[in-house]
Amino acid sequence: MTVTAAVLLMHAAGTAPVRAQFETVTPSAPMISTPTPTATPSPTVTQTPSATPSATATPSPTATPSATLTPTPRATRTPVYAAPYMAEVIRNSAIFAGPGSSHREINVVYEGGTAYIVERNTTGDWVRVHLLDVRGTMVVDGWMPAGFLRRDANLNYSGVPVNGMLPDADPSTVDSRTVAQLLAYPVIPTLRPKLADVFALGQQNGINARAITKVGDSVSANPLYLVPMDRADNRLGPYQYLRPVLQLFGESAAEPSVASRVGMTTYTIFDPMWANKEVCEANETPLACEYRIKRPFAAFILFGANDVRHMTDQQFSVQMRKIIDESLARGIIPVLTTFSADPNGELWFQSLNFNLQLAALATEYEVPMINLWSAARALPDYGLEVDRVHLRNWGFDALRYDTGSESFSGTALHNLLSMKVLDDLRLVLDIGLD
Amino acid sequence: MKFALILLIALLSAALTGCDSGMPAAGTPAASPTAESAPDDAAARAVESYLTAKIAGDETTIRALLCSDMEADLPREVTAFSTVSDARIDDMVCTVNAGGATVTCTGAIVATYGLQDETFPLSMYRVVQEDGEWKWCGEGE
Repeated sequence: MTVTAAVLLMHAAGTAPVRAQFETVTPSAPMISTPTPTATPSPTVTQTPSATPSATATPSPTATPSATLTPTPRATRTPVYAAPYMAEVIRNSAIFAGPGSSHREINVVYEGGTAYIVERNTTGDWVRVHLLDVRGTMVVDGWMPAGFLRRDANLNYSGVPVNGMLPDADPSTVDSRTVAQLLAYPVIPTLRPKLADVFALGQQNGINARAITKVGDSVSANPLYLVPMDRADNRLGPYQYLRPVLQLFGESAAEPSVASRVGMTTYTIFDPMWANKEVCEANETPLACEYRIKRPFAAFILFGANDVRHMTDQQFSVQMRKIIDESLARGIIPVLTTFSADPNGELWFQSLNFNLQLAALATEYEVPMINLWSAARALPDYGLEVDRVHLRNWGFDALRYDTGSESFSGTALHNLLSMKVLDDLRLVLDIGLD
Repeated sequence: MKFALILLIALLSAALTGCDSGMPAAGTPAASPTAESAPDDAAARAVESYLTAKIAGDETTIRALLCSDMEADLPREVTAFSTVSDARIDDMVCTVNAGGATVTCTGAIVATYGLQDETFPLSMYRVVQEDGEWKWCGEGE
């Protein structure tokens, strides 16, 4: 049976965002088993493309970028080189065959070098770059974390072609089956048609389409998660396309959430004793209280860092299911998020299993899941603080994506991915300022 | 010998007088609360015991004092404060409300997470009697 699923098609290789829409796909080929990239990265640096990008040159529209580095689906795409942007490399980095650190490494780039941005992934935290030799000939064509490049105010991702065809990860490069399974889930979720029904139910129930909230433990309770969206001194850097998200949801994001608290677990989110007695009613759970007070249209839910220490993955799944059920029953879209973990930590494998439970639930319920775990693998220390539990902050109170913080700070990445999903949601659900 | 006999009679007489009045003799301390004292008081003590067990993650006591309607919540109750450290209850005083179905407690649970204290004010709780024992049954509304 074919089930209709939705894929958000945005920014498809042009400068202007494409209207969000749903696309019919068949989920009979689950994401968990299918991502086998067809890309065959070039192992050499001897390619000589027909076009030589430079910071000022007008690229030839007939240029064919490194075909051997390009996965099969991209062979039919319009060539890039729309407007190569020259950037200084500020951190040594590998160059990958695709937009994620599990893709094959095809080269390296060193601090102080120069790279030309020719494409980005849908979010923009990974960019496809060309490296040139001293004669100006392109010798490397691959992907790297965008934050490892110095980006000035002239770079606006709205003007950078989007390559949304490549998977975020290449599970075939890892030995662990569990890791490969989790890598197979995209960083930014596809949005299913069911969400429109949930949203419609929420509107019947009186939800506020301009309100969002966060549900979770100390990783979510971090005052630098979502809350800064309302600040006037935010710097989005190249992510100007997210400006409407700040305008629409910033005020709501800045309001405290009684469902996000340090030490919270998927058990205590249902314990009235953990509710804020100043605003919650007697015998009201933190989750019910938050939903009643804020009436959000979407809830960003992140549990796991505490739960993994005190329950089994099956118990975690049961509790998460209760959270999803309660959200959907109220017409609130639950946006699940996997949690980052340190492969050297004692709870590594449990963390993988917990995250896989989240992924299974997201698939079953057709609700969005941000695969933060996958995206954070490219960050130093997996985006984690020295305690290997909390996400690392970026050193400012305001959003500072002009500094490349999304490639160094787990919290900055968490914010970025959440805002990207919000952007997708507001487009597909037609949430505007009116 | 005669003096001792007179003294004994006088003491017995005083004791009997106190019993007749139903009031303790002046200067006599009130009886300390026990499970065998007034039923109301037993309900309050059960709540205090339950809360103390909850912050300690004492599964045996929690299981014994949790009402049957909430048996499914046992895992949540046992682990409720497992993610914080040094949990304690400050200034806990529990009293039974009129009607006897609820107990109101003042005071607060204080626990540490990282370097910060988290406070959980005590509130009103439902109590039910099952098999002759008072059981904690969640928050009252």
